[in-house]
Amino acid sequence: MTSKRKVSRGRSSSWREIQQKNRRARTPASRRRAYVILARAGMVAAGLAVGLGGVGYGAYFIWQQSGQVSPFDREQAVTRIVFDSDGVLNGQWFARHSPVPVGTDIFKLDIHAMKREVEALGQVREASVSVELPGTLHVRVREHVPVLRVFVRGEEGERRTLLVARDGSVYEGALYPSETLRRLPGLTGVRLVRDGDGFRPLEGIETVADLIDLARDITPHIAADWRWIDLSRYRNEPAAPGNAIVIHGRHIERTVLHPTHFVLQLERLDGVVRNARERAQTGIAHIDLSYADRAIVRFRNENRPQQHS
Amino acid sequence: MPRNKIIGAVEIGSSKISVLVGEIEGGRELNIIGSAEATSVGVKKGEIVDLSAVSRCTHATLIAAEKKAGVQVDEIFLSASGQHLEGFTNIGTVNVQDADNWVSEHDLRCAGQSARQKALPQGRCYLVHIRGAAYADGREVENPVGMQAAKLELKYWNVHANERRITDMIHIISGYDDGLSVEEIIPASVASGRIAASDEERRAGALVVDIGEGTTDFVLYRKGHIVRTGVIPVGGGHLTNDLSIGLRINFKQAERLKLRDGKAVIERGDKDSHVLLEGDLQIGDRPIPRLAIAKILNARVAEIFSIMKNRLGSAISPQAVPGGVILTGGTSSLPGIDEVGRDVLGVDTRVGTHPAWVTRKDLRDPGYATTLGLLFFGLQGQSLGERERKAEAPRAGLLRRLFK
Amino acid sequence: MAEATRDWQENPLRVKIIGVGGAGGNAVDRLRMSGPGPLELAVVNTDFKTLDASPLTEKVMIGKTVTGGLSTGGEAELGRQAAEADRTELARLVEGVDLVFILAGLGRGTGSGAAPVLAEVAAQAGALVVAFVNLPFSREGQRRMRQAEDALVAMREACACVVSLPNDLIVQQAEGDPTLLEALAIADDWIRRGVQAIHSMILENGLINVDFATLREALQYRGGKAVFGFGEGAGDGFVEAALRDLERCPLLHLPDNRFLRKTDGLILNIRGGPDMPLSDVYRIMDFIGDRFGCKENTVLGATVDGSFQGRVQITVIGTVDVSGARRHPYRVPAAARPRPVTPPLRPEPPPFAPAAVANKQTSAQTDSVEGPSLAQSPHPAPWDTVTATPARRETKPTRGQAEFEFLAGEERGYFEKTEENLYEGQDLDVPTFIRKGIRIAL
Repeated sequence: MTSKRKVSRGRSSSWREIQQKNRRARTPASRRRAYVILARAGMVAAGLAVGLGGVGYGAYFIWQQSGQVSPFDREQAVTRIVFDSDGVLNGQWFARHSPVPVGTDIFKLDIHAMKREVEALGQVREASVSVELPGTLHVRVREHVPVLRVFVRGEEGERRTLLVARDGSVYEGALYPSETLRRLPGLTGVRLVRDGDGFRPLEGIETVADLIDLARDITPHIAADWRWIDLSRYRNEPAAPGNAIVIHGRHIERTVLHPTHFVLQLERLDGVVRNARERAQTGIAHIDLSYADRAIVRFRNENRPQQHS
Repeated sequence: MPRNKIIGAVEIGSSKISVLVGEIEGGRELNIIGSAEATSVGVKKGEIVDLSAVSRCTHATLIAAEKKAGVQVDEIFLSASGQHLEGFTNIGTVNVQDADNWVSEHDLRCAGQSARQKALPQGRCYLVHIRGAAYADGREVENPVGMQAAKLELKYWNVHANERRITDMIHIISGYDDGLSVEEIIPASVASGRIAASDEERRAGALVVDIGEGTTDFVLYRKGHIVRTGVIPVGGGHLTNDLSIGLRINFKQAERLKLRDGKAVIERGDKDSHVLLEGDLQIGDRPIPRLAIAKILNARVAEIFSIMKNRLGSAISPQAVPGGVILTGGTSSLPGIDEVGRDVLGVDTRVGTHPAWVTRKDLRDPGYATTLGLLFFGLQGQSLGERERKAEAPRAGLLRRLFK
Repeated sequence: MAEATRDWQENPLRVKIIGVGGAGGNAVDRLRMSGPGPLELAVVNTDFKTLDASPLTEKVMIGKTVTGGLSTGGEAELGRQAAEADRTELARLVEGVDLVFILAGLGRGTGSGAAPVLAEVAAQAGALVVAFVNLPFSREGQRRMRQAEDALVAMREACACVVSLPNDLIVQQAEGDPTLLEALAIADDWIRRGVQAIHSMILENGLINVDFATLREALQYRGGKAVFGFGEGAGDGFVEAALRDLERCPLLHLPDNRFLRKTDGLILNIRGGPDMPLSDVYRIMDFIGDRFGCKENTVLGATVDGSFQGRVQITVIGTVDVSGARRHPYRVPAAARPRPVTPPLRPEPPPFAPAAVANKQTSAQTDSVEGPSLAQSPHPAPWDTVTATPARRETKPTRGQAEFEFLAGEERGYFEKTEENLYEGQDLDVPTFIRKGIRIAL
């Protein structure tokens, strides 16, 4: 009987002897399922890791905190003030206008109030105040860029020059080189309204600033000629009738532009000026480009207007 | 307590692949928590003809069933069918070792071992060894242990199969998940017999016939033991094919016609009665005489039963199977099929119903007998606790108890 | 055989295909047939509009006085009257034509009414008339069906051969849910094959040609039913494949002739490649002769087609004499008859003379009525390996229904590609009713 058993053992006489591990019969579906199982396991592992990490970090944080000295335990005097600007202002100017006495307890400084205080200075557009322990106070400001000058008379009749920034804010400029100021056209035809120490921001300056930038870009010789910009006919809505920006220059006495489509008008203006120069005509007294497709040009020494189309 | 075991019962049939997922709670209770079924592609007459297509179908069905159950299956119970399954009876005989002839467990094991040991030809492998009656000195006894006898005989019904085909099936499962093991491969007849016949019927002696799509599987019980199993590679698919050839319609039309108007007996009114092929008043629809349908189906069904009768010989008679013939499987829904069975086999024949514990309505279809049977075996196996699986230990320990 | 004296060179055979009615006209329109010799196409209708739309050149309008150039509205009687009224027109249409094919859809007015008249006129004019007719869907209603049946009977009276193609059957050939166009394409293909089989048999220079008189002889029984079937096989064992295909041809399984085992006249056309051995031709002929119980009056045509390498197409048209006008005495079934294993003439060395076929036939059938006279093939036979393959089917079982033998081995349908399912010598995959010889009436 033992020999018989050997015979039967010699071959796979029961199905259980068939190798079960076989990956050849894999199908896409089974593979997908394996991935899903794997991915699920991965997600569980990842979740576990995140959880453990969070707990660990919390413990570490608490431990670290406990080792730190409380900031309110002792005084810390301001030893250094660092002023930083993207414009012309400097530390001296700041020290003059917003004196923070060196030696003040840094923990007693109200940096938010300080920020408001600094921003109230006309030339400053935006400020940030921060404290760096142990004793440094950082003040960073971004300044307005002047586009126009405006002249006002003071209460005592004295003449003051104020500057107008792109956003319309009117301020007293400080530390600008005189060359910069001289290049700025003057602004007329606006009403300045007092607001506390300063004035309310003006409307429409952005448009004028665009015009000036474009003109400096496209027709620098014309832009250089501009002395005054008169906003008395300017309305904030473009479609308003008679809406215009009037520019007074040294050579061209009066240029009237519509406050839209500056590029087009500047190019036409350039054309008219060149044309006039080629014909060796004398200076242009008046150009009105605010009508859709015609330019009204009046030359000096002549009284009749000439129409260019 | 070990965690609840999730077992999957997989039947790769010719018409459909069905998967039931059962949860075995505390080793005693079985909950069916998931089921799925898919039209089978690549299986004909119970045998896999296109492995990759069957793999795809089976995997998709398994995934669907797992999704419904919400858990992954731990073990797989497979059913096997097809012409390649064969069986034979073998009797293991031992001389009782004890000097006073007291029969011990050891004697029983030895007898079982010798009954299961017959060498198979190359390319065949055993699926199951099913213990039958025991004889102590030639007397049939229920349990010989503790009795006094000089000679102990144990009868076994051994089912063996084509190794390649079984390997294919195992590979389908291992291709699904190579960590998943096939726990048992049970002949379809054995599985569905367990469901279709009650304990009393099996004790009395009964023949369970599972007529599926590709095969007809039968199992003969006597005194509660399985004494024969068999596969006839003819099933519902043949009925459809016969209709398709005989009525000159395509296979799909034939299948619909079979399900809708098929019947296995020829009745008087059939001659003049017609049914519409499609019944939807479409162009191309045409009337088909009921007589033609009944004749074709009757011929086939009668043939299935007569082949079975030939195979079983004298084992099938009203005396031998007082429990009668119980039909199950998808094709058993064909009207009149029991009548034909009765005529041909000469034994009371009826269509079986599932035991009351199968409460889900959709699972009460006779087509689920096999998978339900597989789950049932899964449960039985669990209740045995630690399985004796090692090569030395008698493998049939599980089945021995199962088939008692 | 008076016509045999006709000089075909001088006076070639005239073949005309005539579509009658809407369906028939369309069928002719769509009949793109390639073949040698003149092939005239014509269409006959009552409906001016339909006629006008047809691209064919030869159009005959009938029944202007009856329908006023309109359709018959499905009234067969109107169609008949229309055709009767213009008999002379129709006579002119078929004048001097030797072989007339009539294509018509039966069931509606013009097709059902006029086609029989045309057939009659053509037959009177001396033409051999072969008709291919579509039968309406059974869904179309009883009235249509009845009209079609009546027309079919009338056609059979007038024609040498009427092949009926039920639309029900055509639709079933397409898998699933065919569109009307697909169904029409199938019908067209069937008609084309039928027409071409006859046409090429007479006009193509084939291996075995049939002269017109022979054809006429074979189709002499009027009023009979016709069997029409074809099969095609390619690859290894293409002959068997073709025969199996033929056996499965749905047209042979029509309720009328499913179990038809005997025809009175048979036209068999074999179209094969130059590589087909002559023995295969014999095998096909033997098989067909047995299958249709008509060995003595089989007209065999074999055409060599260069494109048919390793492929063969078989077309069978048989007629059954139901009128009993000339019924052959009943014979012992073909299979039971002793048959020479090797026909005496087979070893004859090439070049092969087609007359051998006739001889072979007469030798096998001592009581043959008349051996078909075959036209002399101008070519030496391209197949000269005749002796190499003696008939394989020499071990014929002597079962009564020998014809079933072929069927029984092969009708497996869905289980075609699976292993044989043998049980006690029978293949269980073959339907039981076939193996048991149970007759299924449809």
